[in-house]
Amino acid sequence: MDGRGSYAPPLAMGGKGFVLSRFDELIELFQSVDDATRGELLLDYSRRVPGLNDQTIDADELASHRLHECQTPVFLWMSVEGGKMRIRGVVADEAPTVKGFLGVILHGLEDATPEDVQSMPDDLMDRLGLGTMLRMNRAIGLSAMIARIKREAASAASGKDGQI
Amino acid sequence: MPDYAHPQVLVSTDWLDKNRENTRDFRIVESDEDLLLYETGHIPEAVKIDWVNDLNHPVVRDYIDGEDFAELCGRHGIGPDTTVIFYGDKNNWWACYAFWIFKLNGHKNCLILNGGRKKWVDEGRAMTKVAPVYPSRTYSPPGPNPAIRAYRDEVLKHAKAGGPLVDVRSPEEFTGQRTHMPEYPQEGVLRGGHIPGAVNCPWSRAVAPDGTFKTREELEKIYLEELGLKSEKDTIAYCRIGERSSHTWFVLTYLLGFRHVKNYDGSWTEWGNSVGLPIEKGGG
Repeated sequence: MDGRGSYAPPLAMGGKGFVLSRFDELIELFQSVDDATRGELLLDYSRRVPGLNDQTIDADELASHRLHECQTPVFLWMSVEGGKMRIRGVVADEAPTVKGFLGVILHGLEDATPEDVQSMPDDLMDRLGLGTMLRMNRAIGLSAMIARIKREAASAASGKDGQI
Repeated sequence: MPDYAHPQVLVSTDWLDKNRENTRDFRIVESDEDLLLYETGHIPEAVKIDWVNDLNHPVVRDYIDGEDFAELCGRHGIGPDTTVIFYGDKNNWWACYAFWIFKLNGHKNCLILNGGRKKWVDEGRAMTKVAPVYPSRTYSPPGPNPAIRAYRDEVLKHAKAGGPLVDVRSPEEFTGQRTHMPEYPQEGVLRGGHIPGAVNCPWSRAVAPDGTFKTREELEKIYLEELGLKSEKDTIAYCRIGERSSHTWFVLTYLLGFRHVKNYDGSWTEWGNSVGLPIEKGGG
């Protein structure tokens, strides 16, 4: 299986924001390779997200930033600085797939405004061709991650600069 | 590990380190929850078998069997006489699942690395990112071993007769307080609770902090004294999709020597969605 069965057309069209075009590039890259290479790409992105073992964050702080939608320990810190979203994520080291997916999202959302975050594709996983690779059993927590980031960005957009 | 009922199904990290190069008789298999964890580093002689992409049927909700199972084994150089040693992440959760599916397919010699991937890594033992390749073998499976698998109708009969059932999900899932996690609608079930008569014991209680199984004495305290299970009685274990309960199936069968344990892999995602089946709530 090369995952092309789940190919979705690129999102970029005239007048779309830069977040969309950055995700378009990612989608094009992931769609241009086979499952094995796609796994390697995901591992590359996983290395951009720090693992939990390297961290010295206290337990209460971690607990308040945990994404309970994911079975895997995923922690997110989101804030708005100068109108841009600053997102930091930490994921358990033994979950490179989840780490990689978050790495892709964070790359796509670099310098995004809170409003830009809302245009991140909800079906990003399928568009990256990961749906067939991961199948439903593993995919659900990843989709939940997108919903959570959007929700938090929306509440950031409704306020001023600050931390969530 | 002399205290267990069948201590020969466990190998220690020390033993495996000394014997891992004997790839003629043994095949080490890593089976993880995470699809890419093996690729980040694994025991040098280990091959990867994935619970979703290798062991589940791609279309039907079932496991691979017959020719597909033979092909998978043959591809990894596993013959009917090969001893397969399973290990993996999450305290051997998925290793026990793979072990159970191999047993279900009638593979004879299966072992578990006590402590799993965590203990091996924590002890700083050899790891590599290079996947080994073994000469393929011809494998004709000896035929399935359905005695370790329970189907829905049989579970219903068992429950009605007051047979012992162990629900190894979290207490919140057991009482029915939670049917699914927020934003997990597809993984959800329509009804919450448990199969009438089941006792609750999260699977992870069988594991010690270093990732190995608890001692026989500690396990007896939990499963026999606290839960009141009896080793001579036919017992059925279940969870959501049958993976967590394969860990408990392993503990009851091999470590405590229960005479006959079945894993109900349809588990709560089948039971809680089926029309007309009895459900009990609360009691956590």
